[in-house]
Amino acid sequence: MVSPTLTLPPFALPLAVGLAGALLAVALGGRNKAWWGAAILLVATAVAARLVGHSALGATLGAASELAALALVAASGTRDAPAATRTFALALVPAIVAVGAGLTLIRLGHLRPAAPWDTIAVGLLMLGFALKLALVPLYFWLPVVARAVPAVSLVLIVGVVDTGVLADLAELAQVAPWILADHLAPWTVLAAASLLGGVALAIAETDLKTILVFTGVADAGLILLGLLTVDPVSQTGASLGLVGKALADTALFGAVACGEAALGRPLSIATTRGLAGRLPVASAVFMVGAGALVGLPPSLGFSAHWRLFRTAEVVGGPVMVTLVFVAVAALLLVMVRALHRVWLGPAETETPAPPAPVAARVVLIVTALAIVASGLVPRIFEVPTEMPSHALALVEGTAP
Amino acid sequence: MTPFLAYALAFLVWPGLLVAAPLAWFELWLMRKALAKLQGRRGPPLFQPFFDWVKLMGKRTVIPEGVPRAAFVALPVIALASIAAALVVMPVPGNPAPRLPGDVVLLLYLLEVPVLCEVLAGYVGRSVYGEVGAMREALMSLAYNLPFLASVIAMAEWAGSFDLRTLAAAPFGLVHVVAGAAFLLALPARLKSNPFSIANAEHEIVAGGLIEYSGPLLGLFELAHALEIVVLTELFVILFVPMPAAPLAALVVWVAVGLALLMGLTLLAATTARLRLAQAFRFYWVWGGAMSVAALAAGLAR
Amino acid sequence: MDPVTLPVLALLAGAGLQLVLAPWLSPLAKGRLAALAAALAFAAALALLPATMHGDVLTATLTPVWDADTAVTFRVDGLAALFTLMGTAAGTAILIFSIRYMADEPQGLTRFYTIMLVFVAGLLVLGSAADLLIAYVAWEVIGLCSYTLVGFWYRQKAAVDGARKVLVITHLAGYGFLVAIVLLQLRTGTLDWADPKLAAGFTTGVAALMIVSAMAKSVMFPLHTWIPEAMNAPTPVSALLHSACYVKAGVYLIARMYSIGPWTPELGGPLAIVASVTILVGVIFALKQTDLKRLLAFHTVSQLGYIVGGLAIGTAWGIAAGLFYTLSHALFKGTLFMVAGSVQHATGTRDLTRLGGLSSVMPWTTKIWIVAAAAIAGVPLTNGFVAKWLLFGAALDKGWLFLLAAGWIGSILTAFSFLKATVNVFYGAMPVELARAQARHELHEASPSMLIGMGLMAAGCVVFGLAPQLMMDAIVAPAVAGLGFTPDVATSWGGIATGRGAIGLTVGATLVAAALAMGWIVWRLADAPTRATVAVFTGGEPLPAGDRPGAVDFAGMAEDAFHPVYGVDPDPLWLGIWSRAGRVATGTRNAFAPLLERRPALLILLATLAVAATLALG
Repeated sequence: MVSPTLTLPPFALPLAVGLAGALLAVALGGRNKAWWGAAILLVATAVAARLVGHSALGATLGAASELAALALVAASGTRDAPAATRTFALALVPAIVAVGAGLTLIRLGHLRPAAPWDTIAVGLLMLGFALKLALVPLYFWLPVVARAVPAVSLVLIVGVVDTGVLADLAELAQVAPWILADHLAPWTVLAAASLLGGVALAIAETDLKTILVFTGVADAGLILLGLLTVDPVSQTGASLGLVGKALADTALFGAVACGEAALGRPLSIATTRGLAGRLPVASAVFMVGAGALVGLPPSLGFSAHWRLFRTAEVVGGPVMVTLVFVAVAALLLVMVRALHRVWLGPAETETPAPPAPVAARVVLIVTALAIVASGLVPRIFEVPTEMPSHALALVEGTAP
Repeated sequence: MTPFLAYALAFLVWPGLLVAAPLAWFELWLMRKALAKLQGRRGPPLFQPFFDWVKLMGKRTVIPEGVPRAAFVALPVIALASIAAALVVMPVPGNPAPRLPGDVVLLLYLLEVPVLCEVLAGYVGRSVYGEVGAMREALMSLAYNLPFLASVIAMAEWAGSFDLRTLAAAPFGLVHVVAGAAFLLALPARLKSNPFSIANAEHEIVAGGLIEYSGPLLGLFELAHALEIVVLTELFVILFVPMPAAPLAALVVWVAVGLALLMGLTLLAATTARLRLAQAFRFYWVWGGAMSVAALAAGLAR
Repeated sequence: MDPVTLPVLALLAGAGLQLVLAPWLSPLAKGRLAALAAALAFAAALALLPATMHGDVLTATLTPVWDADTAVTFRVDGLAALFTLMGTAAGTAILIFSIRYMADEPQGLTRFYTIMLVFVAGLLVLGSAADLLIAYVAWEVIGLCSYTLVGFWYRQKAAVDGARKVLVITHLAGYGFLVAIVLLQLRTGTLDWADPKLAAGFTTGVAALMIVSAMAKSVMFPLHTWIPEAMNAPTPVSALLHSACYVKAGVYLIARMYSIGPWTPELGGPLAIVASVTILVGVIFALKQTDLKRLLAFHTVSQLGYIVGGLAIGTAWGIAAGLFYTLSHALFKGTLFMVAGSVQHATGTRDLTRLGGLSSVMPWTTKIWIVAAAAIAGVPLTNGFVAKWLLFGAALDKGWLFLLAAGWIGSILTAFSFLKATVNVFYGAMPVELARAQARHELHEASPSMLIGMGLMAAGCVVFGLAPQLMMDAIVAPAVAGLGFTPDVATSWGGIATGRGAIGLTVGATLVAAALAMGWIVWRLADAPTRATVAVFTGGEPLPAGDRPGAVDFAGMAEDAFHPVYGVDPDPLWLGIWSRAGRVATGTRNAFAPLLERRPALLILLATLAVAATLALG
């Protein structure tokens, strides 16, 4: 695998997304001090975690970031926030404990303990990550949180924290591939269930934020698929998908945030209509983000999707490919439905309304441009996928 | 002889206008005389169709107000030109035109052009009778073209070529009979004779599509229509009647078949009443469709 | 600057300039800039012809590495040159037409012209890409261009619904192409279509997947239902995308498949059957239409059946017929759409029941329409006739009677349908509202730039009908040769000769022209016609005011006859699948919600047990 001459440092992503979220929050207003404290803590710890790299400190910083997300939910200031916080905590705390325990057992992936501890570690990690990422069937906290928080919080929660969790998992898969490779069946089931289940849940929803988070679950399932093999193409697909997901989520939730601010209430595909007339920029950016999520070129989502189709064929043959196709097709239909009901088409009323704030529009446009630009030069995001030597040794069965 | 001169000769002289026009008038006279005899009349003298045409050519053309002049004048000229071009394509003995090899495709598309012109003429004239006549003509063409095309396609499939000469020389088979019957089914409608004289139904729509035409322009349309009879009878003989080798015998067969065809058409015209458009349309799609399927099947069977 | 990449770069530069200079350009200036960029690209494309005519394959690299070690390399053989020329030629003519046509749009012109230029560039990249992955990217990019252009008036429900349908049908079917590429890459390790290794992985399954993709883009039955809805786009979009270029993307893919490996033995027959059905379904549905653009859209469906049928035949003759038809169709269909747009521009409607008698108001538009309508109906001396002649010959040669019969019957129905359209728009009596508009001097002929755009393409129909060897020798034969076939269609000024028959077209045409000229001279020398001072003949009765046969009457009988065919609409099937999926999703969610959503603690416990059990057993 040729090393690219130019790569973006891993902390750049959470920094960029965090900045975008913060600027949007400033532009759209309405956030209290507690929210700001939690947000700054969230972004800082996430960036620091990536700076520090794969280590105990990094894992701790990551956990801190996730707890900051909990605080962010609590500081939402909406009526449903307390209940959502409780539900989120019910998922997050056990998850952090499970992942922490698992990582300790395997020394962050540098050691493979004797049976049955390795299997126990895998089980703990599986449960923990499934809870953190809201993979199907452990997704219960996600719709509750999505409905309770403003969209700009979701930019941070999904764009920074979720992406960080996925990046952790991807790193772990690189360092200790046996976690996934030796237990392919349950991980594959988890990926497939999330892929199909996430989309099915999105179809059944009417609240736009909830739809988007469920499509994110499906996307996470797809990325997980890429981590299932040690094949460099699949690993690249997963890492590109990760970055693409973060950018797409920023665009999507950012646009929704502008819509919420303009209307003063959450967007729903059942009731909201024709926002493009008032918010053409947000509408266009939503379209770009939806395209990136579904894997339309030029975007990193596309670079990821074609690789992940390949992985599907390698992992599960025509059946898996069909499954992925069905899920991606349904994903397209869900996003198109949302786009065409909430944004495009005739508006509910023709009363003139002020457009989104300039700063918000600028952030959205920059995000959209980043999506397209990154799709035009995906080489920059292809991280080297040679395995570290100690991991290689583990796989080949030679001792540390 | 350069190709251009050869084509010019074929277009203007034989088998083109100079010889085909008198032949057409002769055939028209035969049909009118036979019709008269069947109806107990004397019938017109031999040169009557020619006299009618000359009279028309001598009259003054009147273009109604509001009618676009260029289209009005161009349509009969185009109709006549394409029928004359169709004559050029026919592989009759003595045809100086180089072997085009008689493309059936070209021939059939050239035969369509006069129909298109007449339909347009009906609407260009802006008379409501013209429009109704044109509409009927268009619908009838949809109807009779099914067996007409099927018969030709079946023969082409049988002979393995779109070359008229090859088709003429194809060995005789069942397809000749079935496809020939399909062709004959379509023939009265193409020639707008009873019971399919629907597009030019005098009692219903005065004169149909050509109602606003008079004088030389009407003469050109009438000549085109007469030449169509020549082309279609020639086509029938070429496609479906196996010719003996000796030229004299071939000529006799040609004349006999042609005569039989014309008399048959006249008999049909004399003894039937006009059908309604819906009846004719259904007739062609049901019976014509059945004949088409039979013809195509016969073309495939070896 | 490499001449091979010059067309694409010219278009992209034009698009870039549109964005940058937008605040300072007037609507007309934006149009002129776009037309200029397209014209430059066309000139650059023509410059490639001498080399491709001789069978040279030109290559150039745009960027060395893009994704996964693939470079964006152009490989311009005959087929790529054909598509490059078609795209730039149609693009130039239609953008010239758009200058005035779109000038009255209140907003969005920058977006419009930029995306149009990007679209043509995308089509060029699709045609020239050496690597199938790049071709797929271009495929999807032009799909997105189509989506955003059909949804140009994004506040109108009909337009965005049409855009949605375009995207959904073509993108979902496009996954066939993607999966095919993925499988090829997995099996052979390469995606370069000139690489002989690729043939090893090119199984029937892979070919079938690609064909399904092509079917959706090229409106084959049953994936054709998006094109009537796409007619809610501005007319230049309909002309460029949905008649001339976008729908030909599938044609390109099917043709390019010949470069990869032989696929016709198993799939050619079924594809030809699909094409035959498409020919008939398209034209039968067209008979029913009273909206002029929808009528043209269904005819596009039908004509693409001819094109794909030709390619499915799989012989040099068939492919030559298909590719000649592709170019001819772009010329006459683009013209027809532009005329429809002019009519709508002048009268405000494209409903056949409300139009009539426009030949007096728009004489030049009428002439252009007649030429293009004659071309699509296959009147000799037009390129449509030559295309049909080639196709029928190829079908007979292959022995495919069904394609031949479908094509010919389709041709008759096409002629009928265009008669209906022609007489109801341009001839006959003008309806009352239009007559009043004319009295107020509101009706007008199309503006000169619109006429130039339409006229250029219509002229092409006649030129290539009289001298088809110009197109055959220069463009089509090299394309056929580039796909690995030995062309057996030879052309010269004496006509086209094939293995089976020949057509002395140019000489014959010259003769007919001479005859018509003589006729005209005789006419001028004879008595000049008199203008009547009375109106048309009515048999003594006053003409009934509104009571004339209309567009609906014209085809009424045909519609009744074809009644069962109109039930063959695949849309309810697709929509049914989606709504059933929705119900299943909602039902499943509701069924599992008590555990999965309302009892989280229990769920976590159960999940832990399940994971433990699975891992212990595994």
